[in-house]
Amino acid sequence: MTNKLLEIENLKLNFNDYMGTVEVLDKISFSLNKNSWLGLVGESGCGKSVTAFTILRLLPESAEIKNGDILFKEANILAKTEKEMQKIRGKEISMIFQEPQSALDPSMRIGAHITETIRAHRKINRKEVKLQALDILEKVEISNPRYYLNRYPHELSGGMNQRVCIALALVNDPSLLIADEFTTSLDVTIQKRILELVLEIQKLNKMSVLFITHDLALAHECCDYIVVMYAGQIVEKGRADKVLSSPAHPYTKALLNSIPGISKDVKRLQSIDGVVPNLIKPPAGCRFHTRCKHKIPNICDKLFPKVRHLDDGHQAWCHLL
Amino acid sequence: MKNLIELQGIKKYFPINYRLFDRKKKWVKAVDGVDIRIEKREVFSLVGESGSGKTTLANLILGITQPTEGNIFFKGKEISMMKNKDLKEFHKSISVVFQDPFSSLNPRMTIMDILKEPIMENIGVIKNKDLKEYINILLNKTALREEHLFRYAHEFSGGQRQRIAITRAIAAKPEFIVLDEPTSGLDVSIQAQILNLLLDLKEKYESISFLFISHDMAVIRYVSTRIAVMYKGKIVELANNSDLFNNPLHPYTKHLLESVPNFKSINKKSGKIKSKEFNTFSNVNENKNICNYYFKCHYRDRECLNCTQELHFVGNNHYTACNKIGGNLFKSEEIIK
Amino acid sequence: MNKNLQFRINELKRTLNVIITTPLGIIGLLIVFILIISTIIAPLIAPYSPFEADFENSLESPNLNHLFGTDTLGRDIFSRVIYGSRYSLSAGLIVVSVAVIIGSIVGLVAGYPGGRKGAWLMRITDMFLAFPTFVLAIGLAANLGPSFVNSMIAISIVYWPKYARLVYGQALSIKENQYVKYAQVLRENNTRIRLRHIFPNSLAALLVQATLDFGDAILFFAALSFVGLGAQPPAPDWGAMVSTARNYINIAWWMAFFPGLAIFFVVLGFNLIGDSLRDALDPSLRRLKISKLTWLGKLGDHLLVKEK
Repeated sequence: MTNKLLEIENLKLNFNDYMGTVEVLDKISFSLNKNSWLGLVGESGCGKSVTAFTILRLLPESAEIKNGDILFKEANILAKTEKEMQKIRGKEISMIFQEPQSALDPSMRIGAHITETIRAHRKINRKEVKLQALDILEKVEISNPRYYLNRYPHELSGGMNQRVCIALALVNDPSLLIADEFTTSLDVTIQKRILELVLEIQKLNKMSVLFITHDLALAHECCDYIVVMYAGQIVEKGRADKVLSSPAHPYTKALLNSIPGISKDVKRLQSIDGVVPNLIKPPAGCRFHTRCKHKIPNICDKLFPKVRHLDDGHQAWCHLL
Repeated sequence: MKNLIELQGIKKYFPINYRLFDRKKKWVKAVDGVDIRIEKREVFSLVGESGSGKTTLANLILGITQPTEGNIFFKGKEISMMKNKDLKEFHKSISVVFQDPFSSLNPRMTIMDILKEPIMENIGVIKNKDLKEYINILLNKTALREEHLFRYAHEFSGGQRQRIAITRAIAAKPEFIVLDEPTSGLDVSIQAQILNLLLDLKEKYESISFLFISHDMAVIRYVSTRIAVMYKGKIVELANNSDLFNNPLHPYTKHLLESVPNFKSINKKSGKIKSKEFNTFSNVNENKNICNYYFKCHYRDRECLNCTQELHFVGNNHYTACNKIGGNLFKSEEIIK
Repeated sequence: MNKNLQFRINELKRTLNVIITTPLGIIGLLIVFILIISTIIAPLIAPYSPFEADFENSLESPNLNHLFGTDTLGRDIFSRVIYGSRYSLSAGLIVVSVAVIIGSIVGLVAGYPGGRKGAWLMRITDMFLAFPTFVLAIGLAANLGPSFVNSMIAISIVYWPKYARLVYGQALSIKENQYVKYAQVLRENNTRIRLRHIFPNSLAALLVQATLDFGDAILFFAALSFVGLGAQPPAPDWGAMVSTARNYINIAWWMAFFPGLAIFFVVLGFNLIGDSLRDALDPSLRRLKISKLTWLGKLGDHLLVKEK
């Protein structure tokens, strides 16, 4: 019995658009242990959300999985039928999104949301369902849950709506929770509380969390492991504290140097010149070479770097190492 | 005079109409008594979360809405008392950069048209040749190129669009630029570009002031000269940049600073006191004298049920509306050196 | 200036490109193209004058001399149908243009800055919409007197509220954009904001509706002519032709058939263009590789500017 809950191996994904074939994901491989928190970090367009949707098999029609395996609890997700996936979504694997307002149906009461989710996966009588709904609302620290059961989403604040979404995701006790930038639209004080809440619940339920974010500092607060993505590829991965304190890849380094902090000394922020490359004709070799200050001509733009194993599971893909 | 812009006792209340015949009118107090002085050559920042009133305050300064109460002074003269000529000068010297790079540029206008707009409105008609020269100078300042002029806004990335918005803002040679969350929708590496650009512009231009509005404490730390923290329509603390971060004197400021994720805390489990979230999403305040922050405050006591929430001067350009931090040392009106 | 012009031409090409890559769009364009051509070069392609009577050859079924046959007065129906395109095209053009202009002005004034006054203006506009369009048009045309011009006036009066509403709705959402706020900060006056910011951004929706309505307007005009209120005989207007052919359907089906067919195709053509225009201008629609479907589409790719 392995400790690995989720294993993604060599995933390659394309979108067939009217503009051309977009190579969204390339050689994505990482694994997520049980009872652990993994951060998928990168800037917009790097493919982190797409990875999550691929795990849940919620891709648009134009998507084409060219290659790769996704093993969840040692079973291949990519081989499952839609019916089997429907049993998994919301029960084994749950997801919470960035905007709670658009994740909730404005014409349904909160209680209806929760009961619908419960009944989609379990056969319980009405009374029991209501009790469970109240219970889960209390678990996400909504005081006076009876009152909120009958309210509509627009009557709640952003923070409370996000708590409801978390409740919906957790009500069927999933083994894997995918959190896609779920604190980005919240105020920073509320963000902290919600994050603490999910941390607690994760420890209690021994759940695994795949945390997608662009905020490296946030990832540091809660992740055990971290995977850094750029333009559809993984550039670095390893234990969170190690990667963030001694980054190996130029992109990770540059990213960390461009984040302002509230510490005592204020250094000039470094920006990364250029823009993210168009993935219809992605750059050959290492996709970061077009913006890298340390690029080695004829190597970085031709060959994709082999993995470099630094100590303790810390890996990076760079010719300079 | 030092002060470019001054606000005194500014209030903006929005009426809530529940029923057609309501005897008592209820108000949302978006901005509830704000005094600010912005000097030349400084970056004055407003920090606050949603509902704090910072965007409303920006709209009041820009003239998009009118205050319910209070006065706005420009170079010492009160706005409502100004003659037409002075009023025009006031409007010409203020510019703005908005948050959303996707809706702040008209999708039907070329970049050339977008940059021409403020020039034509504020400077007047210029000959084509001079116009071209001037625009080229502008483009240089913000690292844009001439070929960009004939494209449409949607062909650019978020960071480039924000750059265009900044170029537009400096086009009419303003003395004062309001920036309302200019980097909130941008990636971190692009945000660094834009922030550095702003700081460089501040150095290049001789007398320009910024009003920088954000909810991101780290960004504020990087760019500001002075900072005002807003909560529910009032300013709760006002200080120089380093003072605010090294010595916060209001419970809300402290709370904000503690909530910012950083790389130092090994915070996998913070055993802090958690207060349950209260369902307040409006500024309708029934009990008139209770402190706005009472329900979430860790420092509160009996006195806070009846608090004026006025800013006290505490020394070294530092003002706070609360005297609970630091114990009994800070009582109202006492000047500490 | 030259660059600017070149740039706008490119944009036109781009829009045209998309219409050409949809098979239905091509058909629509073709039909309308034929319509416009026949309007312009009518004298060159019509074998006879539309008014020339030839009693000896009256009520002839379609043959080599008269492709669509002749009517009761011996006039060549083919020539009459070709000349009739002039009436239909001009009717559609004038009606839609007038309605768009009036409607846009009302919609812009009501929509920006909006508020109570705007809402009231819209309520008045809604009153017009409450009338059944055809009844109103008949009433107006009858009152003004049956003629080509009067029927166009009547239809325009019936049509403008639709555009007012459309532009009003557009204005309401467009004015929330921050570029409008920016113009407000610059203290631009209302008219300038309407013309520079609000109207250009409503053009897309307006154009689609106008194109779709073109066919509708032609149909409407034909209907008015059918009841005797539009173009008056001996004008070779299609609706009028169908009307006079009513009594002869049993013995001379071609008198009603061909003008009716012309109306059908023209309306269809405009609807098809309108549909593909809507698809072309709708930024949220992401289409799969459609240019694979038609070889004409591939030709279009070569002839015109490619999307990046």
